[in-house]
Amino acid sequence: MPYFEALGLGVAGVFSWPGILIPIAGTLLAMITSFLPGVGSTSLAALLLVLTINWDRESVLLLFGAITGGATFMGSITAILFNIPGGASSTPTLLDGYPLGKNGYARTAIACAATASAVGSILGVILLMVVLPLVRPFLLEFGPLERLLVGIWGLMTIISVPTGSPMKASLMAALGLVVAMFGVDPASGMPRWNFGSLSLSGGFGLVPVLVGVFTISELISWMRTVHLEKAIPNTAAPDDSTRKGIRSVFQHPGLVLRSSMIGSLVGMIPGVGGTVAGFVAYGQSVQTAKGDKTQFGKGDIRGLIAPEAAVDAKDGGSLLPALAFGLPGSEAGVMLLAVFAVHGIVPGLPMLQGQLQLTFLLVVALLFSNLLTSALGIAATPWLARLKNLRIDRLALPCMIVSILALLQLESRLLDVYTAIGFGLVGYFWRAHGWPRVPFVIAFVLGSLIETNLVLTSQLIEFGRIVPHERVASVVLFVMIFGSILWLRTKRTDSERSARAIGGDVVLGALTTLVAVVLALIAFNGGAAYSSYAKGLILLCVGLGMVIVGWNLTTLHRTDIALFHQPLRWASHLVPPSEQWVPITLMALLGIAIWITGVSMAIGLLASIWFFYRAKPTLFGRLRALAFGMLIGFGTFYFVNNVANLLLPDSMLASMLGI
Amino acid sequence: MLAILVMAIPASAQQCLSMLEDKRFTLVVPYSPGGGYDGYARVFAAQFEALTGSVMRIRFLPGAGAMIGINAVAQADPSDLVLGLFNPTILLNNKIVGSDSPETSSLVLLGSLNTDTTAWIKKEDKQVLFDSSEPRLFAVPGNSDFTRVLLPGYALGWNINLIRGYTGSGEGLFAVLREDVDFFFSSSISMANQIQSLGGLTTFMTLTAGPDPIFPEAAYLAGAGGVVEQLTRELNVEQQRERQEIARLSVELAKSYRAISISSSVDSRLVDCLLAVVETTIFSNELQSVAAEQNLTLEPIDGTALKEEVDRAEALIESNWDLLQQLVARYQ
Repeated sequence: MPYFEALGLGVAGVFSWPGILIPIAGTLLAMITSFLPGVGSTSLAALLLVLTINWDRESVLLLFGAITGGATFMGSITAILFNIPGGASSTPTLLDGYPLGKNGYARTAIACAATASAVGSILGVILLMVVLPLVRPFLLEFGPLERLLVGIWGLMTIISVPTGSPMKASLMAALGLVVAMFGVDPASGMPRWNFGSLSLSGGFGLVPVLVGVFTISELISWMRTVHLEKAIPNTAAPDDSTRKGIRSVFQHPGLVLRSSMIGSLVGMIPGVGGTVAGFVAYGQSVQTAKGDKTQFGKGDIRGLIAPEAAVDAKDGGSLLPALAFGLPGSEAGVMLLAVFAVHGIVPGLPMLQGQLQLTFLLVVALLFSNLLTSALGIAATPWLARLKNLRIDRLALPCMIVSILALLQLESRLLDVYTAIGFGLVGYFWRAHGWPRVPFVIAFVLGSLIETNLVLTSQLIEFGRIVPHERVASVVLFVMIFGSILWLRTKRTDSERSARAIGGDVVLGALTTLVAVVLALIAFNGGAAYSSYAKGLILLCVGLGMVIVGWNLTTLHRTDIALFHQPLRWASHLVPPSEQWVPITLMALLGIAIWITGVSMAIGLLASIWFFYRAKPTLFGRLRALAFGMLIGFGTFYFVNNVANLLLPDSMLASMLGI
Repeated sequence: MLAILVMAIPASAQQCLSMLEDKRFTLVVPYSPGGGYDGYARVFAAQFEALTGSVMRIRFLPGAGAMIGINAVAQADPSDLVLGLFNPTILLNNKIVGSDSPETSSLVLLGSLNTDTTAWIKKEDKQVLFDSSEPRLFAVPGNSDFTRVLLPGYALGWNINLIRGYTGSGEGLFAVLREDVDFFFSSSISMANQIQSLGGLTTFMTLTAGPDPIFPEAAYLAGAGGVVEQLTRELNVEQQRERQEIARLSVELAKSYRAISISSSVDSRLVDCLLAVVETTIFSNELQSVAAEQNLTLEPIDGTALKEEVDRAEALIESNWDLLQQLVARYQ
């Protein structure tokens, strides 16, 4: 079928009546689900796959195109307003989006994110349409070596994100790579750092880690025993406006174009994913920015434009492996292939030739959804910005419970809840002491990509099937990585810090080093499952941890000799403020309570204690608090057993009592 | 429709429908949603619900080479009514290579929706000779390489090297297209679709003991006219017999059943009931037509016949145990 005829049919299919209602409905559904932490568009797609089983294939493609496009932007709103990403791909938005909101520019930031998303998605789809006929040789060029290099490039750009200390950023990145290795060695298939747990054999899930490091750590800080907390200050800056946000995107056309290109191209590479696209775009925005760069990480609008444009531009690209080869290049691609299978659509060459109109129907539905989301986002900016006025101390507990139930809904694994709670607690301390969480998360995301492709590349080089310097794409990527390293060497400086922060860093550094040493001992006594890569990385963690401790001790000796001689006071620097003791203790106990009593009772107990603690000190107030807690416990029980029908293991108590 | 289905059930089995009515079953699929088992799980669950008046929820429990999901089924509390949909030959493969997994006796096989074979795929324009001594490079995902590559490779007398670490069949096929490797292997049904999608690939051989219905033109491994027979003509009778034995074992272990199972700790009356109901479900015309609408191939086997097939493979393993362990030691 001729290219432009198919494009015309695709456009006509989306804008037909009543067909257009399908992408509108899909977009709205995706917007709502992606607004909830931990519930992504994949869960929605899985549900709709069943409900649309009897639909015709054109209608189904309209719906799934809209779901893929509609989910992306909304996750950015929670990132800007609450410092919680709605999904993994919204994580880069935290870096400058939240500081902008905090500085009184919530409307500007939301409008800017919506506009950048819209422009990014248009550019991404244009690029997708241009490369569609050339996609086969392009994707074949990206073998294990090239993917490995893309992963390393992503890592390099993220270490260049301003965080205050490149040494801490490097340690956090190395830790992220190590945590990504938990579970199983990809080459031998042997268990590695799984501590005898079958559940951990699959490693830590991405969503539980993200929910822990960003959502739960943030919610813990919201759960203060003092009242009247707001998400971000109620006072908007005088020049905060929707128009300013929109204008800012068009004031940086080069940045938008570059970021969209990066997003689209990175999205096309199977298995690399949209989160990487956003971070890589952010990194290049820092590296290529002209003028003042000191505001990156503190609320620079360029640091918001780049990831937003890239993440929406990647939507189109990420569908390409599924469309052109039947390969699930992303989570959206997995669900799309399931849709194809159920509705008898053959992906691959037929979608690029005889059924090209179906491809365009999907792509135009995706573009329509992206634009509709952004238009709604811009229109609703004033109201969305008002969400910052919500009482976050009251929101925290419901958000926490929804996050935990959403995690259980994913794969019915209690490990996911323990992971989220564990990383939530650790993330709280990282956040409180300025240890950058983003390098950790992006390294965790990239860890499996890097290791798997390193393993494959080294084997293929050994058998003479890859000659690195003969591959054009790999040479280009080598140059880009080298450029990033050079940039790092010349542009990075450590920032001034207080003696208190140094004391906290000494203790956190020592604890991190201790954990790394234990993991290193396991690795060096663990046999073939622990490759040289695994051993090397854990040793790097030990080394970086020791350097951080040593460096901070030296600085402390130089700047505050009195504190230097009182090691006990260093530890006191880690102690959280008194209004946070209760929520931190409750979160730590929640994990244990789930193990002993099961999810429903543990959540009921948590809610009861929290309400009880904050209730008015009257008998009625206390009784009402307990009643609320019990109600939440029963509600959770009903959800777990009757709505979600989760297959959870018996609690210790249930096993002992034989119930 | 329900009335017709119910009438199709034998009188003894009809009694058990009342036992299942309004019950809440869970069907565990130990793979990710959207994979090869997803569609089968959905059509089976819908038909089972229609027949029994029960509710069947599908839970995807991927990870650890399907062991997380399989353990969830084998160790489930009998009152939880947890069924599984997976390939039981995984357990045999694990037994040979010494991986931890439940015994086949810990599960009752209730029937299989479909049986798939394994195909070896190569690049269309790449010349590969059967009787060459040059080393062959295989892309390997997951942990089933012993029974699907090394064991048949031994039967062929090939010198095989593995590139381990590919994350899925798409990646493996890409590696073949890029000529990073010479071969990739996967189930025939999914290969047929992917060969059509990707282009430029062809089936080199199927791990069957006769022409594969999906790839009737392709060479096959075992039996009369198979590749092993042709390659071993020069060997003595004993060596020919041993190679054929290994080839037949490879064929048995390379089969992929989409089997329904339940923990053997479940009450025997319920098991009998489920055997009858699952048999009625998987052989029903309704399931056939729904599956056909969704391009799913159905080739049902009842629980008794499936158990016989798995038992036969297990007996073959037992009789060749020493040789298999020597091979495992050599390749690991």
